[in-house]
Amino acid sequence: MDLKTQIISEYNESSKALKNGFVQRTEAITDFERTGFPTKKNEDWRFTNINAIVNGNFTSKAKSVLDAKYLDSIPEYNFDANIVLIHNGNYSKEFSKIKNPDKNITIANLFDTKDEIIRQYFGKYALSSEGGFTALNTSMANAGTLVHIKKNASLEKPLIILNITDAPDCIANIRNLIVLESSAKAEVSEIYYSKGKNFSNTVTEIILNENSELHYNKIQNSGSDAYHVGTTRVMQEKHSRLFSNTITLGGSFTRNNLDSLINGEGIDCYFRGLYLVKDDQFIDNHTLADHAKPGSHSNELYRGILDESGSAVFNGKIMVRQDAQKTNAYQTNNNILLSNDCSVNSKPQLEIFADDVKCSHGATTGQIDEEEIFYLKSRGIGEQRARKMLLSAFAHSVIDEIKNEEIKALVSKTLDEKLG
Amino acid sequence: MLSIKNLKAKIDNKEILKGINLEVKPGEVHAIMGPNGSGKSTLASVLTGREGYEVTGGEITYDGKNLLELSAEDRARAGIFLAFQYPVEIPGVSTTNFMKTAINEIRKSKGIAPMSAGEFLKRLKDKAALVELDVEMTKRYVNVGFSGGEKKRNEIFQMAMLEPRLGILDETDSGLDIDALRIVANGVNKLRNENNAFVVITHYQRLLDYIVPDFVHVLYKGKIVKSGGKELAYQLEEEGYDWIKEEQTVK
Ligand SMILES: Nc1ncnc2c1ncn2[C@@H]1O[C@H](COP(=O)(O)OP(=O)(O)OP(=O)(O)O)[C@@H](O)[C@H]1O
Ligand SMILES: [Mg+2]
Repeated sequence: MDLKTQIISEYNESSKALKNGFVQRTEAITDFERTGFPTKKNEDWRFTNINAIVNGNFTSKAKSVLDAKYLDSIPEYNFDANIVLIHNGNYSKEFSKIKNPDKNITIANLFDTKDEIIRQYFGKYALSSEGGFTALNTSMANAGTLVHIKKNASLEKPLIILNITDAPDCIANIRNLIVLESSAKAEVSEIYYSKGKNFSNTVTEIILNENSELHYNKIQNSGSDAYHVGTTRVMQEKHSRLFSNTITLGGSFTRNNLDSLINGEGIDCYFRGLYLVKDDQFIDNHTLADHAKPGSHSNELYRGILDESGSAVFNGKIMVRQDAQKTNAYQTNNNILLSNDCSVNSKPQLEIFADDVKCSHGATTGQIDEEEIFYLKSRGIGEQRARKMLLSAFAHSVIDEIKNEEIKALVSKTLDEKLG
Repeated sequence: MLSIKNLKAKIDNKEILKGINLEVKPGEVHAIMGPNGSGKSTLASVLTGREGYEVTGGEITYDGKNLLELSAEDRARAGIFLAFQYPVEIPGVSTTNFMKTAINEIRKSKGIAPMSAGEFLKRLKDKAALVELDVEMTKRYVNVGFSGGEKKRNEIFQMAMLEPRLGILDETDSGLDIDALRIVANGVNKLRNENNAFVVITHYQRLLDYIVPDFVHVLYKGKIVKSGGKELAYQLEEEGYDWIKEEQTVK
């Protein structure tokens, strides 16, 4: 049975058990039935081969069995943060650690809480009609996180949504909704951690109201047989600030979609990303900075290190709509290739319909600079060490932007180990 | 300490060094002068093990060892230091981190434990003071955004940090203002002792007023065609290279 047929039959079996309410599951499964998974004919998936997912015999029936000892071995679980634990696509109330000190802050299972805000925003920016993975997520997701920060409130401790997927052949459909009311502040990280072969399919919708500020990290450090598709859709109102860091250091196949609708003036939108691929890992980042209103700023820096037969796609689109005069939009993608077998497909797309704008993009793909290597060696630093120093420095221009010190240190350490 | 005999070297199949002879003993300062393109930087590159050069003849011994068999990093660990004519920018690596790594890699190669943080910091401060470099500069990425003169001063700072036995200065004076020239030269003079030696490549006699050489050599078309004392530098300053070129054509 192919994955599409399998999912539809699992949906029919389980739909009664799925939590309903606000979720448009019936519509979504119809969309999924109609569109199925994207193919290479779809412009956004031209360089992305999803056969391993489509033929992967995944199932959504995995159960969650957890114990505290196992969790203690996962460093992120013990960070000084609010922890939401999503295990094999299920919300673990027992093992989540949420300190809700404030009535102005809600952190809860999105599918098990009543908050008017959900009805207002769920499915508003990530539409199931837009693509198979989102349709699949909308029809099947039964767990995820609602973050709702009311006006002027700040989340004191950062939130980590720790997604652990370890049941064999599991599909984890995870759905998050993050709403910051005006002048609210928060830091939210999605961290992916997996063992064995599995597939996580996440959709996160983020609404940043006027003058709110979100630090958003997405860290993928999964095992070598993990498949991940994640879509993050952000809607930014005037004077809001988004600082996102998308770090992919593991996994067999990763597709990150990150879009922001820049819907007001005085907005800052930072997209930063780092990816490291080896073996035959594949990483695909698709981003969109969609300037719909005048006088805002977006800035994107993605860097990649590729080795062995690793491959990557970077597709960064800047859209400046007709109204969006005085837009400043910048984009840079740098790649270092360490072997002859690795490859990267870097594609900037600028669609500019306003005339009074400052936009730039630059992409580089190359090797480590041998002049720099010689300089380091001429001071007594060994060849291997010199190479590692330069790669680490290259990556740190992204890593250093992570505000959370614990996460930054962990990413640095993982990178250090992976660079050998 | 350093003995170069009939050294010939090619780059991209073009012969640049055509039989160089040079003996450097501990405690000495040798100045190398010569017209643009004569092969001065090439000699420095071959001495420090830069890739891309093919040594087609002759030999270099350093402390009795065949220098040409050593990798660039092993030469540095053996005490050879090059102050680059064109210092390289290393984005993302601070000078402090660079020097800490270099010192400890050199120590590791000798089986010495890493330098303590306190000792390192003290050396950093002392040596920055020696070349009148603001310690804040060492926190910045190596040479990134430095002015031409600052880059040159940073080279001498690195040399002071690493305390080499053989320091090769490739046109460190070019691009320095008069005060900086004096500071850099003073730095070098304070580092001088009976155990180390310097090879100073320069176009200007002025530097040699500060760093007084024991020998001056003229490199021309890949050969040392004239050697003398410091008075040779004055003569070149006065008369240029024409008389040397003429002497060569006569030969
Ligand atoms: N990759 C190369 N291919 C061909 N020729 C080269 C290459 N690199 C250097 N050369 C040539 O070698 C010669 C010597 O260069 P070198 O840099 O050693 O001169 P120099 O004496 O240091 O000159 P300057 O005083 O201008 O610094 C020059 O003619 C230069 O053009
Ligand atoms: Mg030169």
